[in-house]
Amino acid sequence: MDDLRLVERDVDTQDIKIAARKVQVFYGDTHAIRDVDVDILDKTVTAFIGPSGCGKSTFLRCLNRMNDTIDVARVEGDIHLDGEDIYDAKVDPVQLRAKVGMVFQKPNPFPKSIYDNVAYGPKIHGLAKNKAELDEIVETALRRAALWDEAKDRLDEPGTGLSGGQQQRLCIARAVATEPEVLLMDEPCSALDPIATAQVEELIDELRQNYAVVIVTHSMQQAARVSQKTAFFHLGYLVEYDETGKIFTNPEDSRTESYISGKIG
Amino acid sequence: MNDPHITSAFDRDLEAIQALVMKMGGLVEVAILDGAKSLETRDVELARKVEAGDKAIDGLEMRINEEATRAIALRGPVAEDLRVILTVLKLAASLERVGDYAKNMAKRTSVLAELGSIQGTESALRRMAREVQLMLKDMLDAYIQRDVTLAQDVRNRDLDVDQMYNALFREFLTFMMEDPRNITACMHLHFIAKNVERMGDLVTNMAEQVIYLVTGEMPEEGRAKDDRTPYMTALD
Amino acid sequence: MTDATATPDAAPAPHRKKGGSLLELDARTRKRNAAEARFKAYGVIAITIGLLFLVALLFAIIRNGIPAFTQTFLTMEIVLDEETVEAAEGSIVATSQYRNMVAEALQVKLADVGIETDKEPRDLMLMLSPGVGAEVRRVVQESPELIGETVEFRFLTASRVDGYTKGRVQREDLARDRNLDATHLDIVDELMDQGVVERTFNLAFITGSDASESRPEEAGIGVSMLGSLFMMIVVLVCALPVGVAASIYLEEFAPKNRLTDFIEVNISNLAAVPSIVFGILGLAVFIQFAHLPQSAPLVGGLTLALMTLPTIVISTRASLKAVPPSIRDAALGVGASKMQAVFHHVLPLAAPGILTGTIIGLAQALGETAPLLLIGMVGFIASNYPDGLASGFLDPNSAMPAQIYEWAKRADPAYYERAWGGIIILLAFLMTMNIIAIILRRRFERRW
Repeated sequence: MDDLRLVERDVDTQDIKIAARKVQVFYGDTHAIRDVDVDILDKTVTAFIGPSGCGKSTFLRCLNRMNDTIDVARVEGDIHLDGEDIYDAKVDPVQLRAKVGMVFQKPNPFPKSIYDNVAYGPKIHGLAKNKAELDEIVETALRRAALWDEAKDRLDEPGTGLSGGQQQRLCIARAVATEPEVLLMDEPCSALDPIATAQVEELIDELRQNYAVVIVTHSMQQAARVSQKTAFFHLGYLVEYDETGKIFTNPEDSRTESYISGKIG
Repeated sequence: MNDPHITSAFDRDLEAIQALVMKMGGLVEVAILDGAKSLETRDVELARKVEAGDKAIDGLEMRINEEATRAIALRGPVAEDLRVILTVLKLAASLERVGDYAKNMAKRTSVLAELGSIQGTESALRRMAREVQLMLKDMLDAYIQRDVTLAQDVRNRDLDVDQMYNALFREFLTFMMEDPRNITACMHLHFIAKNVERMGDLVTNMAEQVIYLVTGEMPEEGRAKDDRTPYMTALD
Repeated sequence: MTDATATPDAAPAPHRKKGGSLLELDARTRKRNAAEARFKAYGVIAITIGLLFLVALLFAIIRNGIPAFTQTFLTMEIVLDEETVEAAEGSIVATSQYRNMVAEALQVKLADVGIETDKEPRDLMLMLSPGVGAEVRRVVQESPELIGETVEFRFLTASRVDGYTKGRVQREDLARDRNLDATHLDIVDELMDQGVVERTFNLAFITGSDASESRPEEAGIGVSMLGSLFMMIVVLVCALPVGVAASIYLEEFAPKNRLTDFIEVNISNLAAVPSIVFGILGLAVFIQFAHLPQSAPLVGGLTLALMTLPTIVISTRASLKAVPPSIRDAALGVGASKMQAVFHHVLPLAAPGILTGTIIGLAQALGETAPLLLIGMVGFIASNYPDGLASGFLDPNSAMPAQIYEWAKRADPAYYERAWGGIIILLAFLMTMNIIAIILRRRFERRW
């Protein structure tokens, strides 16, 4: 029976990529995240679900210290990436963000050419020694984001001229180009139509080969479709964190149950 | 767990489907009782009625399948809702099988009416059928009340049915060995007994499905079984 | 078939309607529509009134200002006799001797063209600008090789004569004038017929320098234009980097606390401070404290830079704010540092807005008069062109609006005309700057 594993549960590794312990986030006086413990596995898609304002995006932004850009935000607790505390005083968030890439809710390509969009990260991190290497990085990234075939003839055209789904894949390519180890996605499909969503979801599943992917989504179906592990946040607490199939067939917590099945509770 | 959905139409759909299951269960109960009664009293008229009634049961199964499919397609049920739909589908299929067995029992009644009675076995069969009907009723109660204890109880009561069947099996063997002219009647009666025993198994399965519905997990294979007929010989 | 005959028309039976028909307006809708129509009419009326005022203003400016761009000239030949020139140079008031030369030549000219007059040469000279003697001397000194030759001169006529040809001065007005009388005008009329006196485009008005109260015909706006230019350079060099740097810091880097809030409020308030306050600040700080030269474009520019700074800061912050945060997130997300995010992505996107704000700030500064009054960049100051950059920044000068103010103040109606002409030039500059701002915005504005 074991060699007939279903694809969805085909997690190749149990290696912990990010370990969070007792994470607290405060926005001024608001306690946005309370006591969150979570282990994010490598080469796995982990979905964060929960009602609006439950803190899932906030927690996601802790993982690459994007909360640093908000003055009033304060993070406590430990978050370790491969065993290293990312909130250590010695860690430069810029270096961290090169390792932990991020894709945002709204496709936000730079108003530059497609090529420059993808090449920007490698350029500022000095990943390419010359133009030929840079070209190669750009091509690889675009291929990984399944955008190469559509974009190869128009690399000089502005990224903002692409369709919504293409723009989002361009943003994924841009994130992938810096060779990150973890890819954070904050509702990457909420601005896309169903076809573009399906393409991005397919892409996420492929990215799982190389990265740990963490995705925040409002669509429970999406979480169910793309993720292997699901975490349910509610009022700043991590209510339940388990294998996705388990969460969607037989959740432990009644709050999870109510939320995923759309009940008043 | 029984919080209403935000989309109240989903609640109405689920309730309607479950009501169909209950209706189907009721029809099947009546079919079992009437089938057994017609057998004992050699009431061919009643047997006809049971046979005809099976159409309604089949129709309900189709209806439940359609509604469940719609609910899956339109509402995307997860968690308990998903288990409700799955359970409804399984219950409908099992109930339909039970209904078929009841109909089969009624069919044989018309043949058996021409043959002589085998002392006491008909009433034993009727008791057995009665027991299965009670199990079915309790199972449906457990289902509608999400009562795991009752479902467990139903599951355990299958043992009694098995034992009744064992006893009947032996009796039939004896009767057939005594007088080969009994063989036709005994064969028919044995099939009926076997079918009633199968009904018990199906009801047990349904009870397990109810347990899955409530707990999210199938009960382990730890229940008492006593169908010893596979190993029985005339020499016992 | 029986059905068909039973219902001959296929139209479905009308439902009973709730409320009235859609095809007729009810009282409420009519009232609302009427209110909307009235409101639109008010808007159109308001715009029409505004346009009328604008047209009236433009008409007044053009009608009053256009004559300033033409000037009446008298063309005549003068024999630069060597002896006379030497005598003139030897005398104490050289130009008066040259004037006599011109007067004699004028008499000859009149005789040449067949105009008979019993006026004295001195009297005739009233028709010409008081500066003619000086001009002849200038020519002689610049090109001594002309001595002995007969040279054709194109003299400015006196402002009254100029006003007469432009219709500003009427014959009746001359009754109260002790300079010209009607007979002079008769001569002018005849000279015009002969083509000796003509009114042509006057480049000197645009390029020239201010002149004394009695010689409006010589006055030009050129030098004050240079004064304004040097001031604008100072403003641009001081206000733009400081303003942009301050805004970037405040908008992107500064922590949000009481202090920055306080600074923010004060910048907004500074923009509303009357310009005269900046003038007195400039006077106190740059002239009385720092002892920078008075009336110099450097001081004017510094003062105006202070005034422009809030405008630049506010518009720069607004355009930085207008760059969607998603761009910053995107840059930070791929691991750019905050400064890289700002300089690689935010600033280029905000640049058109910053430029537009700067140009509008400059245009404001260009048109500003009040602060210049206080630091002395007004009055009859400049009659020389600055030579070289240092002199441009440090020598006393005026600025276009100050020059216009000064002209408008003077008694001679000829200066009034020049003030209007100056306004046309100033407006042309402002309009050009605004158009450049618009073009920049159109061209570089990106949509995302």
